Amino acid sequence: MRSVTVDGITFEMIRHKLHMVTAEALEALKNVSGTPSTSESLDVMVALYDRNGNLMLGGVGFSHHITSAAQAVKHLINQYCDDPGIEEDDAYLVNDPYTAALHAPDLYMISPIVAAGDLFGFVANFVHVTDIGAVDPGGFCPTARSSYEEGFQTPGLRLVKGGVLVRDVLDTLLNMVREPGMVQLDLRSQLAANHVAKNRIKELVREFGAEIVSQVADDLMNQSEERLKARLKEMPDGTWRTRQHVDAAGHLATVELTMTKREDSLTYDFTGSSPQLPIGINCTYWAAWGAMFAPLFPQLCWDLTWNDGITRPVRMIAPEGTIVNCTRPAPTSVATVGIVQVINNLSTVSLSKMLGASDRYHDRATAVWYGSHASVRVFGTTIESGYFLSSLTDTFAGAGGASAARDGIDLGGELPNVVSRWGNVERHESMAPMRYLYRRAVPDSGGPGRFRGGVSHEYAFTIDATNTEDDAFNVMLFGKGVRVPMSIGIFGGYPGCTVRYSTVREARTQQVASAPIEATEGEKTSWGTFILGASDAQIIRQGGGGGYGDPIDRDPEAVMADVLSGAVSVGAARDTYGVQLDAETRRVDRAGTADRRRQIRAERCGVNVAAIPKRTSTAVGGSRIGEYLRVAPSGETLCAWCGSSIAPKGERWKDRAQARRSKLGDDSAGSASENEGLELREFFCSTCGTLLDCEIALESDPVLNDDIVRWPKR
Amino acid sequence: MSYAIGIDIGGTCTDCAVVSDRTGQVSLAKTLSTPPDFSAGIVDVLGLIAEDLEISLQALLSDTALFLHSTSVAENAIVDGTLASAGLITTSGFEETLWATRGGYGRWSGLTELEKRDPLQTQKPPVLIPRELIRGLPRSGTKGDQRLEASDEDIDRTIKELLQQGAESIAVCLLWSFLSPEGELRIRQAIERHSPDTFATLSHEIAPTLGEYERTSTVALNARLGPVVARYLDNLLGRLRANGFRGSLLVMQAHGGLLPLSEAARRPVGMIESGPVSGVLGSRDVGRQLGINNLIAADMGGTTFKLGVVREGRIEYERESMVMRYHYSFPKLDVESLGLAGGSIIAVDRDTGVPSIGPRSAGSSPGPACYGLGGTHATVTDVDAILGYMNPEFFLGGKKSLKTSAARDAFQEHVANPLGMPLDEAAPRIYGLVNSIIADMMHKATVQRGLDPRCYTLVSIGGTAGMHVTSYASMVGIEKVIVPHSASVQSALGLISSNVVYEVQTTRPVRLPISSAELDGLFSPLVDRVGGLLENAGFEADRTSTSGMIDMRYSRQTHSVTVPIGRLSGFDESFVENTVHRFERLYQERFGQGSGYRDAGIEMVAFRVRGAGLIDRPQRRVRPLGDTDPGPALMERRRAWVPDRRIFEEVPGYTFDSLQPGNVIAGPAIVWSPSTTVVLRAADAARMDENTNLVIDMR
Repeated sequence: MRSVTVDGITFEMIRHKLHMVTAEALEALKNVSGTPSTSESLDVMVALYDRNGNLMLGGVGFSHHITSAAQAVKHLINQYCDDPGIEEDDAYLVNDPYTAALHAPDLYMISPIVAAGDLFGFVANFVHVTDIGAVDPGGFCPTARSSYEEGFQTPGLRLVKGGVLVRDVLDTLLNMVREPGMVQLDLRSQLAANHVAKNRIKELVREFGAEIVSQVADDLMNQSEERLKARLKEMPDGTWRTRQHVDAAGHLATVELTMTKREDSLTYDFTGSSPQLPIGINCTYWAAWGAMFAPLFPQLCWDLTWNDGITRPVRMIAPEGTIVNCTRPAPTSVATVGIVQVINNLSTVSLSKMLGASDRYHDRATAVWYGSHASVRVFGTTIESGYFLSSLTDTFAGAGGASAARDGIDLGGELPNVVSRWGNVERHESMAPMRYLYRRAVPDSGGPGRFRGGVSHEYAFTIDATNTEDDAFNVMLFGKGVRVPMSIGIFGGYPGCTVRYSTVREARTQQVASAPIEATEGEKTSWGTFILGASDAQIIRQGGGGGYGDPIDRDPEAVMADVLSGAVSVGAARDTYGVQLDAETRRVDRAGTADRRRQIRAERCGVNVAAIPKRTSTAVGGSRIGEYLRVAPSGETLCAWCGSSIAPKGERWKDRAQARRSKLGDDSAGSASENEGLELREFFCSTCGTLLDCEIALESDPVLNDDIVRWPKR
Repeated sequence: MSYAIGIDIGGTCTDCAVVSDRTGQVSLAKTLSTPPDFSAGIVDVLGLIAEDLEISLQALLSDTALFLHSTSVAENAIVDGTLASAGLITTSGFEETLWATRGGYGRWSGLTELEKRDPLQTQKPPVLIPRELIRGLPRSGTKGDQRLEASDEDIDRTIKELLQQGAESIAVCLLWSFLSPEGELRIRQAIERHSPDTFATLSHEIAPTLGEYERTSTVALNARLGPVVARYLDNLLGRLRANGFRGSLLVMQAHGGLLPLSEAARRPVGMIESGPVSGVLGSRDVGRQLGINNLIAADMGGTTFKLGVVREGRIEYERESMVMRYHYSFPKLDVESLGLAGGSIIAVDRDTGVPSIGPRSAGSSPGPACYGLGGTHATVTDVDAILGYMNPEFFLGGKKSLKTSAARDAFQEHVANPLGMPLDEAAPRIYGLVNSIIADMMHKATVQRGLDPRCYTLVSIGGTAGMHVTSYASMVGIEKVIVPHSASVQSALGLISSNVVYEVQTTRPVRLPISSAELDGLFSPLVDRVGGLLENAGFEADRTSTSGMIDMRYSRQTHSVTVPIGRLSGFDESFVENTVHRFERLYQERFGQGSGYRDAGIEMVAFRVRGAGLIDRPQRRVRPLGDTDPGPALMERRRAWVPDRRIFEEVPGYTFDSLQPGNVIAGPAIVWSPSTTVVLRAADAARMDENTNLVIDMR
């Protein structure tokens, strides 16, 4: 492999400078923007593209955008090169999801970079602008039933011509948004960022010549492509099937993903996914394309340059008219916290299954991190300063998924944006007339497993009646994952908890503050805008990270530590983890735990405790399928925990495993009727009862089977 | 009393500068630090100075009025985990603020861009205070009208419980306390009633800023450091007293001023990174003597590269300070760390033939291959050795031998061979790459912050610095570089050029317009407080200087800038107008053209007063300029790489200590001092000035 054609030292000099270009531009973006999601939560992106619109280099931030913006650049090149033209110091806006964007409020600002008289490439960035003139304030539109209600959307609009803001265009845009001043500032921050990048690239070209710099960019792409291909070749060939049901606004929709890896190529096939919906969670083709890559970058390409080379070995099949490739006029404003995130989740699980079947990379298999955003907008009128519109950043706290070597990180963020964070309570209370009652970790929110999913948090707030006109303000929600847990576990790990909303009317603050959300009698509204009055409280519980492996395989001391820290309840320690605790000594009862765990295994298998074998003392050979399954040279599938055979050659292991189907736990939703038809499927080794896999499915769903056809030679 | 002693203790070395007010003579010395009892190193280094002055240690100390000190004892305690056990009292409902680390922020902050891209390998640092030592007390009210809804009995019980559980100190952070401090004050009164010797820290006193996470983290760090640092300072003072010292011991703060021991002991977080800040102050002092007030202070050693900027004589405050990945909020002057130094390891990717510099470092042990201490990797320092810059006689004070052959072997194997280049071609090119990367990082820290390097002088210190500075400085556009004679002990020099400083502030967002009476009401208590503090520290009014600053921002934007103001009373309309004008100019400089949104309105966020107690210090002696001919200082001629001619050439090598004020050296040349090696390119000319600094003009 020798993808670098420029001499290595010059290459490294230029590569370092290119990285600094995106870093400096990102800094400018954060500095100028006043939007908390930009500066507090780092909901941002800056990337460079070559003269054909191929991704040259993406900086950190929300990474579904770096690939989608590539399409936006390509679209500009195809459509506007001649009329009205793309000239030096122009800047274009693109935010039409049917052209390339993810949703309308995430505005791409794209500037051509002309160096030494020739088009060198493009720089693009996005911020979630304060408002986009849609039916609901702030850009997310729970009310919209079609894209025509979702505000301003352009496939390409020249905002700056030859370095000068086009006044009539700017005025038109500002004339249709709720907060023109803030939107103007957002636009300015975007222009400032592009300006920094353009100047730096020009200097770079002046120093080294356009040809060499372009060559380095090409080499970087080729290098990433070759490295990814080489890495893929180290993985087994196979097909992995995943599925996620998503509940939102009373709808239940499904995304199906079949990921196939052959040699050095990867295909994502979304055939079987639900038809598009009349609510904004749908995602367009290019949004799905970006969503697929967002976790792939950190999971598979952590040490590679994130550029076009990574997209080359990957193909996507997304049937038209479905929620993963909707057609106009399907609404899309909630896509980024809707189906985009579901695709993120399924991409994570599919990649992890593949990684988990690799001898070399199985340590990188992870359950889903923070599978469901639960964004909140509040708006209304303050007595001090008039209209306010504020987004709460609690949803950016995240929760890590458990992985093969460790627990998920509590309140640990998410994979698609590796640098997110929440804003302080004092910041929120200074921007909106509100009072937080608490922010606290949720016991048992992390998906149980051999390694536990990271816990999430729950928070509550009221209005600050001393500074709110009419003693009330509006709360806007557009949640999902209330019935179905979204952070899928892996290799037997359970999912993290569901999202939960509760609007408590006539609340006694003290009581709300001291009780967990389940104990409150509140309205469970998760979609739409409603009024929060002077004596009401709003509570939101975020979803935890997914678990890894069988919870009764977890180190009992780790469970004890979790109980002491509050991450796991005593009840879950006993029932889910099979750990018996001595309340007095605060120690693990070792004998009791061993008994309890054997009893759980026996219950799972429907046999006598005496029939449960001990853990095998010799390592079980063969090719890995995941944490607990091995395929012996004979073709038989073995349990790595007890060593016994699960399925003979030629048969799928799930057909022979002990299966248990149960209604989704009532913690996952309000009433059993709401969860009609949804079930939790657990697959156990029929000999020792080890939990091998969990599925959340509709009763009518076929079992998800993976087919690994070949492992690479060791 | 005739001496002022400045001593900086870092992890490796203890540096000392002593100035005598009889002669104006400055003596410098350096020894290895002596952990865990650092006071032994202090006695060692003072012994060297005493020897130099031909007096006894006792005589030196008993004749010393001021002992000025910066130390990394706080950082060391955090790194080693030898911290006190602390309890935390906070607002109920928010007991987990510290643990939550603003979500993923604690997981990724403080990591390199490369590390951030691999979240599966990232982790949060261990929490500073465990949940069982945290108690919440309820609040009511909003923002500036916040009340602590707890009875005295509740507060007493809470404190008693924490102490019973083994808390040696107590940290207090209530929501909005920087606007409504009454709750925190009540808690302190209760602590004083109960257990007056317990170390306690209130967030509104130590970090009066918006943002409960950063404030809580600050009090947590401070409370855990408190008892440790107090013991250190007591021990030090005892040791000095035993040796006859009768003067005052003042301790450096990261805000750039000194505090009396008792005050410093109450706010140990202020000592974090005070050594590097002292170094920047030392560089500022070097600039001040030359009438330069725009300068970049760069310190490139074996393991770290620190960078500070002095703009119009002022050093900016840092945003989002962090120590060992723990956040804290304290007025700290901005000293940035760059990830490249002498020990950075050079590697070449076998597949692509692309070299990388760092981030792995050979550190100081085993160190670069040329140290001959077992290091097998090629480092930046090894490249410098191969290029012929290093002189064995000066290497690490002449105490260790330089093994250039080991450097060549390591470089051949790990760099030249994989690159497929002859060693003599590869080494200069890697040298160029190193300088290019440093220039990139320097660009981000300077140009990106709105300053024009052509108007700045670079003061270069640190062992590795001099061999790279002319190359990377010229890449960034800097035209003048100074290598001070005090380079090896710049922090100690910074100490003896500092004053006692108290900084107090009130955070209270006020949207303009603001009345003169309001301004007066905000500033006059601050001025009184600073005045009282200075008086208590023994400063007569005519030996003090008080200045004010206002942190301002555009409404609804996140960033604020600190605007210096010209007066602290007698405010009028034109004052506000001028201040707004200055704010807008500073904001544009810092964040770029068109970055402000004036229509949203402008806010004054925090009001600060900085009071300095001016320390009497002797005039330093300067030496007259003499002959331009550096000939007498010529030590040898040797073959070395001349960067701007791109050839190896025979170049003259001079000894820094033999150069006389007035001497002029034309490049290409090398100058060796005990602490660094300076490489002059063919285009450079250097002159020794009357303060015996080497001033390099780059064309």
